[in-house]
Amino acid sequence: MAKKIDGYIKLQVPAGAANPSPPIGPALGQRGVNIMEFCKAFNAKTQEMEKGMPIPTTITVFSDKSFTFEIATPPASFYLKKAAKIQKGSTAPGTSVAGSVSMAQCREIAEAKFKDLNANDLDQATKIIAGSARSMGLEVTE
Amino acid sequence: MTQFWRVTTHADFALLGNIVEHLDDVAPESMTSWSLFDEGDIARLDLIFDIEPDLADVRRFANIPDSMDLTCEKMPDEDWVRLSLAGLKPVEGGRFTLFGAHDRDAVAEGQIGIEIEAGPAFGTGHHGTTRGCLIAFSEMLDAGASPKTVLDLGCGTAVLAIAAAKTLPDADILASDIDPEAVTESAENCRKNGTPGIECFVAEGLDHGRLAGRKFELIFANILARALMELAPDIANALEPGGKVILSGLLTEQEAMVREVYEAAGLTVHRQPPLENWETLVAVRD
Ligand SMILES: C[S@@+](CC[C@H](N)C(=O)[O-])C[C@H]1O[C@@H](n2cnc3c(N)ncnc32)[C@H](O)[C@@H]1O
Repeated sequence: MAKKIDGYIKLQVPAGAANPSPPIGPALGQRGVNIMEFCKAFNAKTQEMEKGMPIPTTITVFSDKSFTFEIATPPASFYLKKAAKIQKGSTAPGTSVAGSVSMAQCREIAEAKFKDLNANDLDQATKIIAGSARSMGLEVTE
Repeated sequence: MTQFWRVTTHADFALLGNIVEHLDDVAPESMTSWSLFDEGDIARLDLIFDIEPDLADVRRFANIPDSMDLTCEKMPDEDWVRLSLAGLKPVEGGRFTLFGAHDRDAVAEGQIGIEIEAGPAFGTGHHGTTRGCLIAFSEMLDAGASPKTVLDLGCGTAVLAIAAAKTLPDADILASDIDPEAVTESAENCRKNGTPGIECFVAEGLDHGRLAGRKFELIFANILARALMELAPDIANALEPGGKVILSGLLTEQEAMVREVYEAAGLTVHRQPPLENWETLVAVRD
């Protein structure tokens, strides 16, 4: 019998390192999802990944409070900040420059994120990533 | 201690669904999560921030029109783990109490505890159909029944098979489900509950080598009205004379329909009191 879906929770969870402290606790706790069970299942599923990498995670919660979850690749901003070796994007993109990434780096990121990008081919995906870089205040070099 | 702010709005589920679809692309890093839940007539969207958000800003990036309410509150500093478990309280059904690992000590004196974690398989007891079966089974036990052969058809978490194993130590108990994931969870639950004698396997209905030609004194079948109706001849055929099947998973408006099919298969059908619109029937082979 298909169980009735009560709702969805979306958040970023560090790969292999989910724990009940915020932001996971408040997001799941207020909906009665068993936080410990989630952390156990999530860490088991992401143990092969680079530890601590932010994983966009969508949790489906059923009316009996059981849940399933799906994970996606880390957001482009995570890869871009890593490539540019910076902590934060620019607070005023367009006027100040926070750092720079090369087209080759954008291409690598596009490869890693390809399945989650709405792109027909790698060239188009690379352009999407370069666009995200610019909107974070990063300069894109050849 | 990190502080959190929760911004809440209410609307139709589909409308809020449209809003969350683009949320991840436009939300600032200070938004740490969102959740969208059905609350009966209306749905509720919560956005959680780790710095105090500006509501006008939130309206702008999330595309929330002025016609929709939008409130912001500082989230209380809670013990989130404890709170998350409060929704998973133990459930009683007849002689049995179903609980998660965090509630091991919560089984009342005289009740039989069954440990089931909320997982992908159906059957934590937080549903009228499972409870209906446990109550009907308890009543049978109270009346002195002690079936020697039991089948839990569509076992989910195997909660019903485990209930049988805990009360009928000499019985031969089988648990089957069409869903392999449920069978894996069933085997794990049987181990956890100290009832490893239950045979768990994947099968669609009664179509399986291990079920061929077998007769049972008791069958649990908590599936769905349509499946129950299709399975009626096979189930009737798999009952010993005097054997009983506990049927659940049917809504009140489906009761007459299912009853008819089982009566046509030669069984006498008794109706249990409904639970939250879910019906449980006990059908006996003469
Ligand atoms: C409502 S759940 C019942 C779970 C558990 N017995 C309980 O009472 O909580 C129904 C289960 O039947 C299974 N199922 C559905 N159709 C089936 C079929 N034709 N044969 C066997 N199992 C089936 C589903 O996979 C599901 O796990």
